[in-house]
Amino acid sequence: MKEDPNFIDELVKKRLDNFEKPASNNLRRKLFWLVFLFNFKWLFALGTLAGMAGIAAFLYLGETDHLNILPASDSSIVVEQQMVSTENLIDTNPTQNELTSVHRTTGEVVTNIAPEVKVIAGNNKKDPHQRVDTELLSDDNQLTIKAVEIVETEQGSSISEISNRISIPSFSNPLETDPKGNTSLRDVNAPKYGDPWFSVTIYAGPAYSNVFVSGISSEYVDQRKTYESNRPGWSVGTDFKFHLDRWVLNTGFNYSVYNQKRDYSYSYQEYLPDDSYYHYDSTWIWVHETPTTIIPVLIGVDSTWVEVYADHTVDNRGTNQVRYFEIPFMVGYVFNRNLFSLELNAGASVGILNYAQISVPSLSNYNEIGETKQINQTMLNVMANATFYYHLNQQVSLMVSPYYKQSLQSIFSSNYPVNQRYGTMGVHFGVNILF
Amino acid sequence: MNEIELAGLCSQKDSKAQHLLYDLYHKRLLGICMRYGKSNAEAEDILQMGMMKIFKNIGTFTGNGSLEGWMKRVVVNVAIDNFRKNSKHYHLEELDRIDEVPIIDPEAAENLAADDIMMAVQQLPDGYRMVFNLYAIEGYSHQEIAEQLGVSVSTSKTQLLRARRFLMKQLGELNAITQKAPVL
Repeated sequence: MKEDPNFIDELVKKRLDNFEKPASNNLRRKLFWLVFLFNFKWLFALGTLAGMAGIAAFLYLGETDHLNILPASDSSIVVEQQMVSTENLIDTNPTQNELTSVHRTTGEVVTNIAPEVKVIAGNNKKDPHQRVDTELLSDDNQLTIKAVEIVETEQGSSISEISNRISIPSFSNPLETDPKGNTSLRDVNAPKYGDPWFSVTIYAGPAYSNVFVSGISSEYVDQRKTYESNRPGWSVGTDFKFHLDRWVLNTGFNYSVYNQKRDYSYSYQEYLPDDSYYHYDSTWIWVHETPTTIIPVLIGVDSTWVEVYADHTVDNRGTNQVRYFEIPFMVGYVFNRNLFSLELNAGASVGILNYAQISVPSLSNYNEIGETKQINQTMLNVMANATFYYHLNQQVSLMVSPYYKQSLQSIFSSNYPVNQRYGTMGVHFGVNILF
Repeated sequence: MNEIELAGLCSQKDSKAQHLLYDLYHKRLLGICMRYGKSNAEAEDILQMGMMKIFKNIGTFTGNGSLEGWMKRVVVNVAIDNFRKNSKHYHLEELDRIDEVPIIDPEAAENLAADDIMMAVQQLPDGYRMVFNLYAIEGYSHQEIAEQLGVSVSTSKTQLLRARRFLMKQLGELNAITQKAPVL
């Protein structure tokens, strides 16, 4: 046995000190997803906050919307009822009554009653303090309506008396039935458009981006403007809308593609000073040296600098394209008119670069066109839109939304001496689904 | 691109630089994490936490010393934190008494594969493994180990001794197997 206690220490240290092992691809994927979340944590925090606020609003407003509990007056009992036809009848015939229970509490009466249902509240011998749940069934036995709570303010009042004093409001928007004549409770409680609620819009559409280039020199900018032009792009996405009365908070996901046509196709001449030269032009005259002899005499030399040029052809055509994954944050206001609504939104969006292929003139030689990789990884935009909705029914609407989006940052990274921004006009077509 | 430039780009959250940093150093760092984890999965968890901490704090790297050394220290600290955090789940194990420690032939021990030695280290009980790593490989003193792990100095010493005996037993058995293996 090796007696030295440090032997094992040295052995392990020597063999494992520089031990290497490649990590799994799964770790790499997980790690960089976490890094991505970390790098944009403020964005996700904001999104989460907006989401939580929306869910809170959804829950709060949804609850109050379904349980409109109105206080009872001295001797009257009010039944709060949503979307009930005025044709509903309260029948006191005890033989048809399927009263199974009544829940007595104090001071308030709440019940939901479906249209086209004859509700019979018969059993008038109920103990005022007895707790019973009531289930009222429709005639065709297809629709079950549960009366939640019935409360008497006066001891001894019977159910039939209560029924007689029920005031049923008239609603102009009766419950719709499907072609088979079926009606669902969900439809009864579905809010009208514009009620506080949550909706999702799925959309796509073309876009047209104007490019604003500045920086380095006017010659460079002119070169870009001359040989580049706008080319339509597109975008697709989903909006999550949180409706608070007429106000709408928007967020969601958007994938935008910005295109620009590149058509560097021209010829130019490059001056070659080393190959240029002087051209000498001499002037001679003929002089009679003797009456019979004529000799040439140089009377002048004229020199001209001849510039030599090389012909070059530039041919670089294609599409400069950047794609951003964007998250909008907008606030809107809704105007309703019959089946149409107009929603005006304004706000900002944050983009994360997904793809870039940008070829532009070299900063040192404008006739050399090359791809630049110095692209900004994020983009901040301000945007506004006017969204028109046509409501097919209480839940589904068609929408068309012209918009304008202006990038506040250059698509190039900050150390690149050219500033290029997009001003994008576009239109989204889509469907809005109200939940 | 030198280390400081790479660290600077990473501190600016340059995605390519972060990938490059990971690609350059993750194998070596995982080797360290494997010594501290009882399995490769735990080692990868430590590496993930360590890399997150590196990306978060790389702006504090000033260039004093090598970037790799700085990253190793971060990863070791994460491993210690991880041990402390989970210390309520761990306990300073009492292994069965190891009466007989196999004889290790030094020459044969040199021929043991690094993977086998790593496996033996990973099989150490958590407390033994942590103390052994910090003392034998990282060069911590027992006082420092006691402070880092929240144990007494004597506990640290005892754990080290037991870790050594455990490792000698494991490696001795491996050594014996190696010696008995037919030469092909």
